[in-house]
Amino acid sequence: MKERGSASAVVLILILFLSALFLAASLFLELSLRQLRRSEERDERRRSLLREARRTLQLLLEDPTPLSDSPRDPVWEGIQRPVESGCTVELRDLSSRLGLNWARRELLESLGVLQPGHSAQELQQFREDTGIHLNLKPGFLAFFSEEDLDSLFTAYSYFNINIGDELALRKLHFVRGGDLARAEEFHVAIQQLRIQRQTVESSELEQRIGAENYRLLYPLLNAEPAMNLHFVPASVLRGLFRHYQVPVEKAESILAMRPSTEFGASELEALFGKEAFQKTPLRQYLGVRTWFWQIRVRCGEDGLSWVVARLPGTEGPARLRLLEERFSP
Amino acid sequence: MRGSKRSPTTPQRPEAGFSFLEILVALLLFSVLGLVLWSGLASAQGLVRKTIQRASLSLQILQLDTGLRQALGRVRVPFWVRAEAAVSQEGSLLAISWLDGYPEKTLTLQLRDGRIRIGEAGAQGSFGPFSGARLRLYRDEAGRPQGVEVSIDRGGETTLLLARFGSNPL
Repeated sequence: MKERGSASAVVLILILFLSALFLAASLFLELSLRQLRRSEERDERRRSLLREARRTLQLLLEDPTPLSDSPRDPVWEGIQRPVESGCTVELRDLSSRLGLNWARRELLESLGVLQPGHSAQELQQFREDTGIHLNLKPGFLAFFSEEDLDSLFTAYSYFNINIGDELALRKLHFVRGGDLARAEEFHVAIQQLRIQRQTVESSELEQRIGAENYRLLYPLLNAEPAMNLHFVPASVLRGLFRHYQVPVEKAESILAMRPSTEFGASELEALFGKEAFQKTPLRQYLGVRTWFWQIRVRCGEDGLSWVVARLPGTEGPARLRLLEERFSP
Repeated sequence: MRGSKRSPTTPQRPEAGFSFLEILVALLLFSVLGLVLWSGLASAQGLVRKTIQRASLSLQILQLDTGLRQALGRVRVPFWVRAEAAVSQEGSLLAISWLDGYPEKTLTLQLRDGRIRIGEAGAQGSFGPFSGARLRLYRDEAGRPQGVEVSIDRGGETTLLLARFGSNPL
């Protein structure tokens, strides 16, 4: 044995082994903690996005004039001042465009926006074959230019019993109920209403379509005006007035007034003209309430999009329901 | 150890090494020391292994949570469709249509051999393995499917993950 002492090789190996083991463990723990921190930071950012979205929703609910939604409502001012720093909020009316899932053939032809070589009848058949669409692209791109599709049409729209395409209403019934025979019965009932030129009012919807159909279809099917006069695109407004042979000057006058005026439901008759209000379905297309809102919040690189639906048929404050929630990235 | 100091008065002992008794004592001491070291090392190793396992499981759960939320957030069942119609279940396989809002695109979730597979046609992600994992639909009070619930057993305590669809029924 050596006189001079030296660390045993075994002890050195043990120390080395232990060090490697602890190094690996601490590295792994460090990585786990980093991922956990990232996850916590992500959750915090999400909380900021959600706080802004909820605040916007609250502003919508606190509208002092709940029976009319317009650019003069306090919510528009409120979203300009986000509470969370570095966040921006956008509010968009999603429903004040023509519902491409239900718009009638004649109106689509009359708007003159169909791509050359395509007819409204083809589009009706396309809807019949492919059903109701949530994404209008790419399906409808064959029929319209991308710009028109984005600016004039929407998928976020209720079906109005008085103005919805009858085949689209039959499709809706089938999608909800899964019974083709009953959907066809409903279709025949709608045809009868159209032949008799009867307009169904909101208050009599259940009685007109029967309790069973009402349970199946309401609130998706209702008798509320589909679009909000304050937000409907100018070309759709003009197109509707032209289609129902109402002097387009009235549409121009509405377009001139709407940035500074909040119209009430009782003013629509005066705005459209008595005859147009009573004898055309304009009041089924144009009202003063928005049914679907999109709230978009962006905080730095993170984003949140909410789609909120207003339930129809209420006369008090708006009843809103969150339909979609999407975080990005 | 024997020192190298030598007294000039005492006669020099030959460097003959250790006596038998000394060797025995030294061996005994080293054995005891070795035993103590060995048991300490073994328990340290066990502790490290356990810590790594726990951290690894936490990481896997975190990854599953993120993957699950991202995938289910893409399910957009339109407001006119009954949510029940968008979901089908066959054994441990859940198929949910209306991925990204398209009826023909389907998201599948499956629990097999402790692994949870989430994916769509052509792209599958696998998470786990998890012991005692359960996968099922999460429903609201009215019984309508709203998302997916995964429960994972973590040695006596259960971790529950809940991921909702990107859409709610009207």
